[in-house]
Amino acid sequence: MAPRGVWADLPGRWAVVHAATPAVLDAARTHLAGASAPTDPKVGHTFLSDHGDRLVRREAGEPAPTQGDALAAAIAFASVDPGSCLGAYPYALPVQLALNAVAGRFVSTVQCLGVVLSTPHAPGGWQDACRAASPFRVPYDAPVIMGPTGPIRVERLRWAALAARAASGDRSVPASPVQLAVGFVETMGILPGDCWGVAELQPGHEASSAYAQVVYRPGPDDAAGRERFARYLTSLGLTPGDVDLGHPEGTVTFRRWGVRVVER
Amino acid sequence: MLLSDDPAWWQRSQQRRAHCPPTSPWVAVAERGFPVRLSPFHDAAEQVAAWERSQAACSAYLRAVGLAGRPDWV
Repeated sequence: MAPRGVWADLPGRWAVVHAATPAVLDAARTHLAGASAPTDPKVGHTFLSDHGDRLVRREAGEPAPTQGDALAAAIAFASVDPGSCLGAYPYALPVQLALNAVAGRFVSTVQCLGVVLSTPHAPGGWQDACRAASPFRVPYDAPVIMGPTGPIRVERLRWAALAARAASGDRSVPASPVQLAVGFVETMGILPGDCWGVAELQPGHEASSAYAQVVYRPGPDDAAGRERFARYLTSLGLTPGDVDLGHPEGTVTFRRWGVRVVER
Repeated sequence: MLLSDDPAWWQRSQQRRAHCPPTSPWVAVAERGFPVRLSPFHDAAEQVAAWERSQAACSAYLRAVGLAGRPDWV
């Protein structure tokens, strides 16, 4: 459902989550990364390289905008239907943070610089109009954002509660954030055509700070799906609260004269 | 090989499917990679190049397996 861009432990790692049909699986098992592939059809990756706080406006006292808020705003602005979307994910570049530059101690992480929508064809310049029309008002107190192609919901799943178990070799728990996202997608019953994208991101340099993100169109059985996902988590010895990312982006405490202060 | 071909994936899949609706799609995950330098990037162009290489690899995969034109399956 989305190519994953970068991952701090290995910036070249990428993943694609998709339906498992027999024809696709046969081809997928034989395709080697780096091998030649057909040049058509083209895939358009539309970068919107603006920070979320420039695309989405939040006033003092409101939660700081997230990269998911920016994605929802971009999806709504561009009227991208999930059935026509190959991926919706952060534009996140690999960077090295200097823990001690003098001693040459650097750690790999990713720096989120915007959002990307991937479609079978380049949608054609909407990003300039999107930037010109920004900032957008994206509600922060409602889980669902209404867009021209239907409701949009961004689910973020915290990885920390599973990281230690996965690292210790516990084969019952998802082995990475993207696998936790697959658990969410499957137990919720989200069809690929109702999903804009799956992604994962690791802010900072600790695996425990990683999270998975699913951007999807909720259906009438969304609440029932969440109950199924909760039961799945219970079978792993977890609760929904264990995978609730919360809002690490903090709260806007001051906004005036073009200055914005966020407290975390 | 797909990530979803891993035996541990199958074990976890069985656990998930017990909680899935009958209409839930089966999902596959391709997870690949390529080595990139882990020394500090001093040039933004290098960072962008690493990202674009990842994008190109994803696009090539989608075309190779016939999914580039099937966004409703991705």
